[in-house]
Amino acid sequence: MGAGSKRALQTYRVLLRCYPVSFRARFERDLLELFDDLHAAAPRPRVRFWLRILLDTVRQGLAERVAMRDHPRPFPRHSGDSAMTTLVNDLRLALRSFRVQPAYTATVIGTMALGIGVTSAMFTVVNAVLLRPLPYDRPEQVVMVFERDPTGATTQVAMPTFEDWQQRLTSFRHLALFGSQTANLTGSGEPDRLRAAFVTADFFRALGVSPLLGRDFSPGEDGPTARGVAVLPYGVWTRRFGSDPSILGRTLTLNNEPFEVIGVLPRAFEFPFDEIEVYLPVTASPEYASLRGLASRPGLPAATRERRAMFAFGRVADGVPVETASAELRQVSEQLSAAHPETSAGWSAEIVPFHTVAVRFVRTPLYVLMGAVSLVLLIACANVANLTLARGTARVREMAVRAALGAGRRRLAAQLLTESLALSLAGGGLGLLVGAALTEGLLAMAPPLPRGSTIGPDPTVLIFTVTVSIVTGVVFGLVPALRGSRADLRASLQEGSRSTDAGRGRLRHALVVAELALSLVLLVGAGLLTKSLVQMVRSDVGFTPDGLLTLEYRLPRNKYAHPPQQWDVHRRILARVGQVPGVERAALTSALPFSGNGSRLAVWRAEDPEPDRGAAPVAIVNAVTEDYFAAMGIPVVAGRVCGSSDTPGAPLAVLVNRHLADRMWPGQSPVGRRVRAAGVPGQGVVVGLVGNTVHAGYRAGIGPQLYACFAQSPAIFATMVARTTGDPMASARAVQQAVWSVDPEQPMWKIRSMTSLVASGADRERLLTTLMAVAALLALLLTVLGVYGVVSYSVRRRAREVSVRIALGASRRSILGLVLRETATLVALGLGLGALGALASSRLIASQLHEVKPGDAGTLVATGVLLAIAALVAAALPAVRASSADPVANLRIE
Amino acid sequence: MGPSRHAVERLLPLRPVVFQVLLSLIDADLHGYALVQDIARRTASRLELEPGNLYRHLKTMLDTGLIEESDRRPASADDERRRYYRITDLGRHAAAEETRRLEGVLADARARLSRSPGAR
Repeated sequence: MGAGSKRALQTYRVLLRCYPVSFRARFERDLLELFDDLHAAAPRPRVRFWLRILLDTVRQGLAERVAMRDHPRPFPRHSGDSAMTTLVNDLRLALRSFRVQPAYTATVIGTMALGIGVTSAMFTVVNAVLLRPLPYDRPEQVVMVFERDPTGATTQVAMPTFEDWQQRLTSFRHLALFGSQTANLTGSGEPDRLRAAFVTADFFRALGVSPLLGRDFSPGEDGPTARGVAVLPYGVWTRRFGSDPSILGRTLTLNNEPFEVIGVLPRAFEFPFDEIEVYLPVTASPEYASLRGLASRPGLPAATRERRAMFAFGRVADGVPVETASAELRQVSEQLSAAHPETSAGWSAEIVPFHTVAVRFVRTPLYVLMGAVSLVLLIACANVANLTLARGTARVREMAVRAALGAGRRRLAAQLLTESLALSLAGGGLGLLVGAALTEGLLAMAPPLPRGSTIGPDPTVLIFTVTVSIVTGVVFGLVPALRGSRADLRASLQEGSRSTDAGRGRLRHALVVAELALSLVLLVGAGLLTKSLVQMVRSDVGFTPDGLLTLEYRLPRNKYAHPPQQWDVHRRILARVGQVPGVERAALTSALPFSGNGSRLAVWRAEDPEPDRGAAPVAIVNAVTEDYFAAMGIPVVAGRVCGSSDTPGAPLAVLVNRHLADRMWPGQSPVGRRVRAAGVPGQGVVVGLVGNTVHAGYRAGIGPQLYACFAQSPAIFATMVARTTGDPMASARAVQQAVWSVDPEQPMWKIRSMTSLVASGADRERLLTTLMAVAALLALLLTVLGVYGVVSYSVRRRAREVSVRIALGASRRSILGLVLRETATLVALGLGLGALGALASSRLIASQLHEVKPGDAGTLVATGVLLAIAALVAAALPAVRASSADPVANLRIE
Repeated sequence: MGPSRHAVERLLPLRPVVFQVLLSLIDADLHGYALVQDIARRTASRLELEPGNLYRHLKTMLDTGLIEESDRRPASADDERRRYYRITDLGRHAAAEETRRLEGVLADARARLSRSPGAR
């Protein structure tokens, strides 16, 4: 049984408490068994399933309890004034009072359900992604190991360095290497690709995971001469191979090589980096093949220490603290950089917990959002506390009568608190459903989150939500309860007395000020993020994404081993795609902007000596074909583009962007100049100057770029860009067919429009902004309701005073002014406090902002004005009503 | 001798879930999950039972004697510990009577619909 399924069972066991004891005694085991079967069969993420189960349990549990009451147990209940009986009595009183005031009850439950629902939904995500430990054996022992460059930035790991670590480090029980890349799957239907992880034999042992079926890699199976073997994740085994138990021993053809399936991983296994579809030995990776091509064993040439292209992680040996392992790693790194100064001078290495690395991009946004929804919950609490205080005033006489009949203060407070708790628990129960629905919606709109497949309700979420419900019940109920129970008998029973009310008014005003302040904090946060997002998507990317179709493919290296063969296939594919109706221009590139691809190399003027590391500009290097700039809409400023004369034998032709040209030859034309790049033999001649483009995402912005000609440096991987006349996706199928007319076994993926690719570059920002805006709008709505409630209550309470003023000649306008002035004082206080809070807290989101300062004055003023107007409008409605009231009628009532 | 006519008629009309459970148990003794699956299959997933809904019905059916717990395990039993249910004589008669009752309802409905204008 997987960990997920065990957690689910625990949750269901808790839920079963809805049923009476006798029913549970008879059927609990059967219910659990049936639940377990249904849970296993339900499709993920199982939100619908959980909603069904929750509704079923609550409905049937209540029905069974009602049925029990109609057929009471043979033995009478033990009577006596036990705590239980008191609680039951208080609950009965509470229910009666709710029936008397359905509007109050519905408002409180609705507000709490909303507040608790958003909090519960956000916690569901935070819990699954950030809090729940990874499902490995002693997960705290698993750490990532990075190389660290002289500037202190962490990088991937070079294979020879890793091999040295393996030999020298003693504080690790296992060290493993992985890299991921797509692999072409052929031989079964249309050619497809699988996301493959290329791993060393220790990979699964380092994670402490054993396969569900078969075995994992044995030592030596990651060696250069071993035959091909593969391990499948559970999901791929069930979806692609129908859970076929005879999968073991089957052969998959990947990158034109046979791999025998030797194992299937358990369902609970989780690898948080990429959605890996097959695990293969590291020797099968193209990276490894090209490295081994550089040298024969033993020992790799020094230059391969600069190809830092794999990820390393390890399991620290039992009883060894991570700090000890860190210290040993630093020591070994020093030895290595002394031994290989040409590639590793100034380099070091660093240990980071595995889980930290897995969630590094989402941690801050998730905590920011968790903070935001907590503020919404606080505002909801303040609102409900205000309502309850107002209601307490109305019930002063009820309390006084009960006190006169002998109820002690403690008893009265307990009763009032029971009422709040009953309301907040009802709100919490509803909030669980709201939260589950919100979580489903969130997952539908969110870009893939690390560990996203594990997001769902579990006992922790249930416990969290129940705890939040109880705490909020106490928070919004305690003060009203203490005040309500302090009933002054004589004063309260006297007609028209107001003596107990002054303190309440101040408290209610303080709550409204707090709501306004918290709202402003959220509004400023949402405003800053929105401004940042707008800046981002409006910024000029340097090319024209509209009308561009893009797709990626990788030629199998063992089918097209040599560069001339590779270029020949690419050329033929390009020619065929160019003939597709609707395609105006087609080009190939090794790295498309916003795709995450692109290699970076230090470049310098050929006449200069090779500069020190860190001194030379690091350019994104990209091989392109002739029509690339025309297809992309990148302006060619000077010189020419790659052409038919740029053949493998001819001098290396390169193009530079303005940014690089301005850095290397400020004020001069770069055309005709010569450049060199780190690790590349020979020099290139600059033949053209082109415009800047945003390549590595909005945040990275514009940087140095160097373009080589595809024909002179062909590779197996290529991205196609095709400029089409109409909707680019309409041509997708025809373009695919054109590729297959050259090689029917060639898979393609990431078939998408350039517009969607560029838009996805702001996915994370868009999600964070949207959720933050939703939280801020909720806060605004709740605050407006709160202001409205307080003002209309205070106006009603002062009806007599207002009437006297009008009777004595005050104009209606002056009455309106009186009420609005009072509100304005509250708004001013709230905005002042809120501005301080916003300035302090917006620093928390500084890392998420793009070209906007956390203390942006425009945003602060705009959101402050918005909030002030909303609050004054909310106050004006009851104020207008008060000023137009009939003074005589009001005076008569009193 | 079967159960008295009165004892059966007292139970009619059967609730849809009760009727479906009885139909599922006519051919074989089944456990809870098998019942859910069988009913979902026969009703083309129009009736998908949650645990609470199923077991509250089973409880009533056990209490009224329509079904009973079965000690026998089918040869292919996948889990020894699961509780299996068996239809009783009363259950069989109730299912048969319910079928007869529904046939009457159907016959009446068909006759009326064929008389109404526009029917073919």
